[in-house]
Amino acid sequence: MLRGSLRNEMKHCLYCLAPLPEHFQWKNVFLSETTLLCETCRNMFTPLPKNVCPKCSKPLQKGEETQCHDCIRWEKSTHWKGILEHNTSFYVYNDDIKDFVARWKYRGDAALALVFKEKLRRLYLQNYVDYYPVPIPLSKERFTERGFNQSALLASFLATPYTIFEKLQWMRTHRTYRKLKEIAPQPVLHALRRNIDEKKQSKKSRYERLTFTKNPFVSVSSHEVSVKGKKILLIDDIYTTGMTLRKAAYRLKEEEAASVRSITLFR
Amino acid sequence: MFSYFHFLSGKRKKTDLPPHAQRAQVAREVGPLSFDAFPSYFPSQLIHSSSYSSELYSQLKEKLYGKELLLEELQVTKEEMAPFLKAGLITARIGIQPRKKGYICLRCGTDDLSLFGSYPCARCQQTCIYCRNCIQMGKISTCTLLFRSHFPEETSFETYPQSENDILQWDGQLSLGQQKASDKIVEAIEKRRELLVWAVCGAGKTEVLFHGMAHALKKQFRVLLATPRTDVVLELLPRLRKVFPLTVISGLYSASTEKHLPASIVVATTHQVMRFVDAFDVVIIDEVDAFPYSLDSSLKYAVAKAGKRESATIYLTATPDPTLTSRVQQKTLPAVKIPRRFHGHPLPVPKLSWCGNWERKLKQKEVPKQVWEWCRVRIESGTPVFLFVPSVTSLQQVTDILKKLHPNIEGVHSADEERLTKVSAFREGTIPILVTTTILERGVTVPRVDVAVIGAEQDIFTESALVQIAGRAGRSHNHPTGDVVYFHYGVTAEMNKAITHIKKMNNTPIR
Ligand SMILES: [Zn+2]
Ligand SMILES: [Zn+2]
Ligand SMILES: [Zn+2]
Ligand SMILES: [Zn+2]
Repeated sequence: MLRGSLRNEMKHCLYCLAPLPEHFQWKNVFLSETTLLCETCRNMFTPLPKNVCPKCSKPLQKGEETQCHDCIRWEKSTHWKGILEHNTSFYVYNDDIKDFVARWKYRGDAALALVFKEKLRRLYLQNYVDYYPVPIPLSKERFTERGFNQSALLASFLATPYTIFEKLQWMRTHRTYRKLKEIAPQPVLHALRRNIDEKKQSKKSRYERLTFTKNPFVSVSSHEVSVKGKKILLIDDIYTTGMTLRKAAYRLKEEEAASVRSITLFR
Repeated sequence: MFSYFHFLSGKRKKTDLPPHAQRAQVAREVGPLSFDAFPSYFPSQLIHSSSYSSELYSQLKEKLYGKELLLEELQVTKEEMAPFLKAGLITARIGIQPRKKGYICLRCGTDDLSLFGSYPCARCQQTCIYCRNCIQMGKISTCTLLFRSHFPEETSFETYPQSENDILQWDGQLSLGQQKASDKIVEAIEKRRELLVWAVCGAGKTEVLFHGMAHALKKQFRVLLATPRTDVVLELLPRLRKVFPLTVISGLYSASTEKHLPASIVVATTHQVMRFVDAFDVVIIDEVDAFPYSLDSSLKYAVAKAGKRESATIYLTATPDPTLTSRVQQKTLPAVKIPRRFHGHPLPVPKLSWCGNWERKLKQKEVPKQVWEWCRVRIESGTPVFLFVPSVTSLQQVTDILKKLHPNIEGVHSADEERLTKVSAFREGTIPILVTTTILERGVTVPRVDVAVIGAEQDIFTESALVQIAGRAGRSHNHPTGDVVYFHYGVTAEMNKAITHIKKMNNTPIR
């Protein structure tokens, strides 16, 4: 099980390990960034500005009115048109976050994923209840080397059973009545496998990344993980160019997924 | 309860030791994994793999000298490591060990359950427990091995000079107080005992160590000088290299490049000390209670583990913590005091000045009148000023406001990237007032400096912090006095204790 402390209360900020004020500690039954992190660390996470591309959450530049240039470009390509319908992101990817992600992924501090748990679940409950979460996989070598896949940890947050409160909220947002026991999240589908790791993204130019045409993903087709006709929600940590997500989405579309959207933490 | 338990078990009371020492004991006692246990970590075909290269032999031997490291830190593959394990030249043990109540991390000594995390591990297919306290040095989990050297020791000291005069090339003079402390240190090293050296700020602590270190080197001892702060490592290294020109001295801090150099003197920060085990005959802990980092239990554990079972431990401090003082009072820890600064003048006694609700003033973009006046007078007379504030937020506020007094006034805090440039600009006199949250440089003499604290009633300003802050003033021969003011919004017990402490040190006779 993923835990940031082997005690029941959080005594320290999950990131900088500074002691948390006591009135914080009892609250963290709810496990969210507001209760797991100290004030300084919380301020590291800058929410995206209001004015973002409705399709991919990228902050809009001057001259971009309704959609960003990237999205327009993607939709012009016959190969990529309509592959990834939509992406939602939470926070701005900046230097502080770079350090945070380095400790999470490369140093292997798996528990840092917990920071995003509540936020992810809330968004999922609001907009994606009929979507099946699919994590972006790592290659087998990278997976054993690192010990965990950060995207799979995030996806697993969506599949844990709803609390009573979440079920009530479900009914409220969907304006439908269901028996409580019938309301359950969709299971995570491990529908993809990764054969090759791309080189560390940062070392390549944007051009290289965009033209790296080989698709590292293959779909795992079996009875249990069939994506045919299903709505799919890809989960990953960072959206840089959108290439990785689209390559993954492409494979799912080949397997006749009805729709592919994505949630990424940083943009 | 305890005595009953110990009566039953018939063991020597481990509970006599302080907690960090108990944990260090545990870390020593956990033996290496037996060779049969390796297949679960190393697939069996690896264990029976071919012999090792001589190049790798000397590389690993050098890297592991006195240390316990991870595979990633050694930068070798499992395949390359296996033959060394088979030959018994290297042993391995699991980095996180279960204890009666919970776990202990053998590297940093953490046994606080709230500092361990867990995750479903793809390597061992189980829920792995990992230490979050020292994760910056590479992850240690319940499926991670720490590797330790058992290479045969060769005598590398043959060409080393035998005379103390060749080892220590220094002709400085010690003051009366320094000389007394120096003799005690030599004695403690000779007898492999503990010693507390209680020296006022500016007493010249480093010089006091020279003879003891030379004595240790002559006996071919390995010496560790540990400190919580990188600045201190950077400051001590050139001084030690100058006076011990024939000795291999390595400086270890997070950005240093000389990590794997076997050396007779190691000067290291807390985190770097954690990598050592059973390696040193003499352990010197500098600034035991250095504001704002009081010696945390990790450093205590790390130095206890880095020293050999029978090693001399010297604590150097201006403000010993309550544990040390009470041990001195109970006569279980020998101590020596250097109450006077090397120039023989007393420490300046701080003045108290009530300045009202300074926090509210800062919100109104003002500093209290008293503070403003005090600063203005010093700018006019060209006296440099260290101004201490309790937090980074107030640091920014105060700096912005004081810039109206002089545009070159700067603020600096411990995470400031321009910290070193600002400090040297302050030393050169281009910055008239340096607003700061921490004591930046230890032992650096800024002549004629005056010192003030805003918000001295805040919790962060403990007795020892306030004493250390006062110790910044009046450090040079020509200007042995200096003004020290604690601006406050209500006198605290800590402020009174600090003043009593300083007066007491000033009244202690040298003999
Ligand atoms: Zn924090
Ligand atoms: Zn867009
Ligand atoms: Zn640790
Ligand atoms: Zn494991």
